[in-house]
Amino acid sequence: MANTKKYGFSTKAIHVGEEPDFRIGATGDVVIPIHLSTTFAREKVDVPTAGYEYTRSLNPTRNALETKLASLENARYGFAFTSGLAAESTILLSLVRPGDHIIAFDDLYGGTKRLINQVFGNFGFEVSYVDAVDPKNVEKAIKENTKLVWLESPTNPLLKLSDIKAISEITCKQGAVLVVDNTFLSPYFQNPLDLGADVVVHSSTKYIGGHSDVLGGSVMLNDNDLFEKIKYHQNSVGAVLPPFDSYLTLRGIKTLALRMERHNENALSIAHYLEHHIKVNKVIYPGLESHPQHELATNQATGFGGVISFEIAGTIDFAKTFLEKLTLFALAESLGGVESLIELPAVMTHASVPKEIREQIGISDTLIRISVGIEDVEDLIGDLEQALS
Amino acid sequence: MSITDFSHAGEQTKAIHAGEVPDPVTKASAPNLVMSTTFVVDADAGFSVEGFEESDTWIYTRWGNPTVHQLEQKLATLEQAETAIAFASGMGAITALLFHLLKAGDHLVISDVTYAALTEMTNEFIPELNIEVTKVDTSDLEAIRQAVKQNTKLIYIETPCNPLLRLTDIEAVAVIAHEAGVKLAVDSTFATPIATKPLLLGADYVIHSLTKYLGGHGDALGGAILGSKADLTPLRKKTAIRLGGVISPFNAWLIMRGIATLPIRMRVHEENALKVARYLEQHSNVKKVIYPGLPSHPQYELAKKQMKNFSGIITFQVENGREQARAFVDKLQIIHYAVSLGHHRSLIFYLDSKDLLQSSFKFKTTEQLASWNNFAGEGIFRFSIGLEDADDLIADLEQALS
Repeated sequence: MANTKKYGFSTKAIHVGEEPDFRIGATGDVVIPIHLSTTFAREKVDVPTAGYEYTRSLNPTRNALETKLASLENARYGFAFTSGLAAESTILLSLVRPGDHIIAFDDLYGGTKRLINQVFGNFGFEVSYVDAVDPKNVEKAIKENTKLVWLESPTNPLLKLSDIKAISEITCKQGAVLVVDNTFLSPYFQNPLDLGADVVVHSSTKYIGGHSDVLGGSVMLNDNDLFEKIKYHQNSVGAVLPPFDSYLTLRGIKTLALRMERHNENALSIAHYLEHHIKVNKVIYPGLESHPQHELATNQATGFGGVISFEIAGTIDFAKTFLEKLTLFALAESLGGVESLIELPAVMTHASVPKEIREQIGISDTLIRISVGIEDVEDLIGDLEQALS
Repeated sequence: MSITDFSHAGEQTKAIHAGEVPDPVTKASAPNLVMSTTFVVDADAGFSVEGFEESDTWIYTRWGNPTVHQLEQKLATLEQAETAIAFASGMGAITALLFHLLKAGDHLVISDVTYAALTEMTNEFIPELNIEVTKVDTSDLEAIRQAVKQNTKLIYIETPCNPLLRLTDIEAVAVIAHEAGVKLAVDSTFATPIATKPLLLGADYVIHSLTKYLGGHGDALGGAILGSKADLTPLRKKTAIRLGGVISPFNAWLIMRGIATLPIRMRVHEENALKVARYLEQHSNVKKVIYPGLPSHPQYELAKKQMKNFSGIITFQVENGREQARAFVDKLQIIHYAVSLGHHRSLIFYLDSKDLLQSSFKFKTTEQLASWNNFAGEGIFRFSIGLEDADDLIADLEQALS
C-alpha cells in the first residue's frame, strides 16, 4: 500500500496504518497488536533502536491509529488524544498565547466554550463569539492580534453551518489558523482541510469510534510547522490516547463508511417523518430542504450525518413524558454510536448555558436532539410514533 | 425503558439492542465487560454443576458470565433460537456438540466436505471412540436417506460448505432426519443469520464460528451452538461447563461489538462479492467462478430459496493455481494472502485439490469425487471479500492476475 491516495475511503479505513509486518521476527498479523508496553528497549545507548522510546511520545498502536486518522481526512499528520476536549486543549496550548485574539462560532459545544472561557480565559486570551453562519461576521471580528478562528459545522445542537471555504479565505488573508470541529459529519462526509481549513478536530468518541465505548479526540493537519507545535505539546502535556483505546477506535473506523451511510439514510427518513408530525413544531436537519443552509450543506459535504434536532409542540413536561416513553432510544447524552440516543439539551447537554443565552441562540426548553443510530428505521419511527401519541 | 421483545424488530435493531440493556446500577448504555472469574454467592449455593439451572445467579465464569450471557442472548435473538451457548472457538462448539450427542456404538452422518479440521476429526478421532461415521455428499438427499441407520443419532451439514460453496437443502434434510428420529445440526458460519435461519427450516442445532462474519474484525476467536432450551440446557451442563472450552468475556465483548454492524457489513460483503465475482467471471485467465449469488452456481435456485444474502465468499480457478498463488503473494497490495474469512479485510488462500484429497477429503465413491471436481477442479482460490471499496479490490486483482 505504497500510495494510499488512490484508494477509496473504505479501503483506507481498513488498511492504512495496519499493513502486515513481514520483517524478521514480526508475525504478519493482519490486525495491529495492542502494544501495552509503556517503555521500549534499545540496543545502543544513543538511539532508540526501533524508533520507540516511551509510549507517551510514540506507541505502535496509537501510531497506527494516527496514520489512519490522517488518511481519512486526506491529511499528512494525525494525532490521537484521550478525549475531544484533550485534543482541543492541546491545540489551544500549542497555538495561542496571552494577548492573542480568538474568534469562535457562538453556537459551539458547551464544553468547548467552557474550556475557552473558564480555563483559557484566565490566561489573558481575548475571545469574540460571532454568528459564523455569515462569513462577514467573522471578517468584521478580525483584529490585528487574531490568531485563531474556531468553527463547528454543523454545530451542536442547532446544526448551523459555516462556509468553510469562504472563511478560510478570510483567515488566510489574516494569517490566522482556521480550526474546524468535524465531529458531526465525520471524515466520511466532510473534509475541512480540502476546503481550506488548517486544523481539523474530532471527538472520536462519536462517529469515528462509533460504539459508545471509547473516549477519544483526534487532530488532523497538513502544515509542518503546526505539526511540530502540536507534536511537542502532545508529548509535553501528555493527554495521549492509550493503546487499548487506540485499538478500539481503529476497530470502529473499519465500519465508519458503512455506518455513516446508514446513519444518514435513517436520519433523513426520521427528519421527513417528524416534519409531517402534528406534535412537532420544527425540525432542524441539514438534509431537509427546509434547512436554511441546505444548499451549502449539499455543496460542502457529501452527506448530512445522523443528528437531528426538533422542537416538540407543547410544554417541557410533554417533552419529558415523550422522552421517558421511548423504548429503543436511550435517554442519554453523547452521539454518534450505533444505538440511537435522544436528549433534552436545555436540561442535559446545555444545562450549563444560562437560560437567557440558550433562548438567544435558539435552544428552547422543548428542543430535542436525536442521535439517529443504525437500527432498522421502521423500528425507530415506530418507537417515536408510540411515544408521541 | 428499554426494548425486550424483538419479535417484530428488524435485523439491525436486533443486532444492536438484543442482549444489551443499560446496566441496572450505573445505567451505562454500552455493555460492561465483566472479567471476574468468580461471583459472591449465598450460603446455600451448590458446588456441583449437577444442580445448575439456567436461571441461577452467577457463580463462576466457566458456568456462566454476564458478558458472555449478553452475547448468547444477542446470538439467540438473531437466529430466532430459544437459547445459545458460546465457546472459545468454532471447533470448541463442534466438539461440545459431538461429545454431547454421540457415544460408543452411535452413528454420525456428516457431509463429506466440511471445514477441514472437522473432516480430519471425523476421519480418525471420532471413529477411535467407536463412533461410526458415514460421509456423504449432503447436496444429494438420496445419499443421506440411504446413509441413515438404526443407530444414527446426528446428521451434520454445512451450507454453504467450506471450501466448495456447495449448498444443502436444510428443509429437505430436516424432514429426512426427523422421520428417522435423528437430530440435524447445521454449520451456518458462511451464511450468517442474516442469510439463513436454519432453526426455522427445521434444524435442531445451529453452529457458528463467531471468529468469521459475526465477530467480523479478525480479532477474536469464538464459536456458538444455538437451539432449543430442552436440547441445550443439558449440553451446557454436560459438555460446555465440564469440557471447559468456554469463551473469554473479553472475546465475547469484542464479538458483541462486532455484531452491532453485522447486517450492514453483510450487505456490503454481498455487494462487493457480486461485483468481484462478475469481474472474475469475464476474466480470460479465470476458468471458473463459484458464488451462490451467480446464476452460474450449480444450485442457484436453492441459493435464492435458502439465502436472503449470498454472503461474501467466492471461489475461483485459474490455469496454474500454485503459480498464481505465488504471484498473488508477491503482487497483491490490498488483499491479504491468509487463511480465515469473514473479516472486514479481504483474504485469499489457495487450496490445492491434490493436497486436500490426501490430507483431508478421502472420498469413498466416484460420485463424491466427481462433485468435488465439479466445484474445485485442480484447486481453488477461496476468496473472502472484505468491506473495502470494490473498485480497489478489482484493481488489485487486475494487476496481480495479468
